[in-house]
Amino acid sequence: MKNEQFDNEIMDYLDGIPINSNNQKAFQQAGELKQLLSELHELPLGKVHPTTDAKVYEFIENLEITMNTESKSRLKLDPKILYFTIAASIALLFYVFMDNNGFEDQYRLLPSNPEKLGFIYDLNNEQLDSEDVEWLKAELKKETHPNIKVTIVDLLNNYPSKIDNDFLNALQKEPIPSVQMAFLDALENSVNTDFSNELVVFSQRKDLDNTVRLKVAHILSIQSKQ
Amino acid sequence: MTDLTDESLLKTLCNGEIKSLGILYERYKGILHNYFLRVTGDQEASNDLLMATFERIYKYRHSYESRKKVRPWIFQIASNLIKDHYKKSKRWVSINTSHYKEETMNTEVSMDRVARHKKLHKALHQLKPSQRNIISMYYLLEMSYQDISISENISVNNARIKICRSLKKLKEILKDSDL
Amino acid sequence: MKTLNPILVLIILLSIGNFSFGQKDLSIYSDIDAVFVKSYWGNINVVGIDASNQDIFDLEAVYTDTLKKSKNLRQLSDYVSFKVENRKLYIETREPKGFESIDLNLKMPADLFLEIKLEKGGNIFADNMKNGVEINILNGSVNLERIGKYALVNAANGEIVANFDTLDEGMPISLVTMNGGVNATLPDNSKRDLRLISRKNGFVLSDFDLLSDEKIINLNVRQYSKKPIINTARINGGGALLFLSTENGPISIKKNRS
Repeated sequence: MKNEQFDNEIMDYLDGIPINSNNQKAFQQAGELKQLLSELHELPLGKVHPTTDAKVYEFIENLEITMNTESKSRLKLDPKILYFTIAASIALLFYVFMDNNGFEDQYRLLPSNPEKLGFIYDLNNEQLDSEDVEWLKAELKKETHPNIKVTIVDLLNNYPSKIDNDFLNALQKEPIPSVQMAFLDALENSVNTDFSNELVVFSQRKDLDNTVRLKVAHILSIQSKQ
Repeated sequence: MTDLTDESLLKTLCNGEIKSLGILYERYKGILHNYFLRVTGDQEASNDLLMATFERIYKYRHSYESRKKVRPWIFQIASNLIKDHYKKSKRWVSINTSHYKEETMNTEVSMDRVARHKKLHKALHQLKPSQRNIISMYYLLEMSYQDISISENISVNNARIKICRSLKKLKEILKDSDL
Repeated sequence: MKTLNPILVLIILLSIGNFSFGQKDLSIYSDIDAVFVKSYWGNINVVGIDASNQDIFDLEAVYTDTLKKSKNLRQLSDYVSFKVENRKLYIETREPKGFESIDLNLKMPADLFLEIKLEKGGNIFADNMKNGVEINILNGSVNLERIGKYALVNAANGEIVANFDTLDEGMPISLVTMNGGVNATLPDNSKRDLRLISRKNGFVLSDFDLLSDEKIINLNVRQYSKKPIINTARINGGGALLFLSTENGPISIKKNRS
């Protein structure tokens, strides 16, 4: 650990962070390494050999030719094969459409919570279709990070007609008060209003925060007046 | 098209605009070639690795995450190729100083300086390949500690320590050669 | 001068307080990227230690028993567990038996990622954490100072104050609470897309010029609005998301001028 601290002090110096002047040894070594780095920077740079340039451009050209050939060869197909190809493509597209969702696939590949959250927020700029909205509602049941769920609910507020029983099911399973409140705000603004029975069941949960319980009572009182 | 950012170029490449790969090649070939040359010391291997980098960029273009920067992504590909290279050829390459010819011909560069460069180059190649690699990632590619740590699969702190110790080792080799 | 009897001193100490504390050196965990702290009742204080002093990595736990029975924490491990999985150090207090609280004071390397989950109640304070923080708390306030990279904070009952000094401008920030204000302080050149939600008793204070297509109710007017304030806006041309949301309370966005 001591050696690590010493090495870290040297690296700080190399990165332009002043080090403790009391540590003369670190100061001296850092100076030597700085000199070494400047010598490394002075090493002459080699040039790429023209044959490598040629190889890379040949590779790029081949890619272009392959792509053009592929698109041309599609046009030259026998009409019957073309018909079957189109039919098969439509079937495949339908299959992909039913089983896969572009946004969903991209979302699943994201490695961290902030990236997921940013991705969801950016969907505000997209035209989401019904499948996308259904996926987001399903995600509300699967996702564990409360702030991501709040961002999803905020996004779904743009689709008030889609706030339905699925949405309520997700609320019933939700343990975090701030997320429950986001759900309830969305329900309050929803065009669908017949949630009374489910909300009564929800309000009987023993673990509810008092603010959430008051919010449910408020929504129920509005619904009873309508 | 040449004024597009790296990120936009990769996006257009994903959309089938193959020419974007050529522009990326022009932007990165110099730095990558020198990185490979520093680490392997082998002109031929460096050319092959450079070619392989752009094959991989094309092959894995869809796995690039659009929210991140292209530069560290390309450098990650290059450093992975270096590792593969050393796995395949577990040998120390002979030190090739042929790329100093050009410098030697330049009369403004003193012979003394050329000798110093050759000595430093020789010392570099007495380091372990992994040490040469991490030093090159640090000073030549100017990768962030975060990106180096990902590439080396170590913590950021360990990356700093490893860079420091590799530089110290290089210094030590140079001192010994002076004796 | 007559010296005090050590046994007498011990008896005095035990009778004064209903708390005790234990300390653990964590520097053995040198090869980790992240720390996760989970606790039930009690305050959590975390201080990030810069690289020059990275041999400082320790935890102090202060135990309080409100049944007025003092208990000596001879074994910290009876109350707090430690394990490492996937380069992440997990520090967890035991599930409370009756009402007990354990305050945790953690000093850790500033470049590690920090995640905290406080299940019941207490306040959280974190200073100088440079690799992002994620916090989930039920009852209590969150106060973050000199934070780097990004933060995702979720609270139920308590305000959130977050002061950032070295942001990753590609990473979003999300601060969400149910009851309490939300205050974010950012470097003055930060480029952000803003989402502001204050459903009641809110107003918005901003040092930044907020560019928005809609009128922001009670902007820089310290007057509680009866109407919900729900807006999108941009600062410095826009960028990654800054999501600030409260059901009940004001929102403030300040410039970090240091």
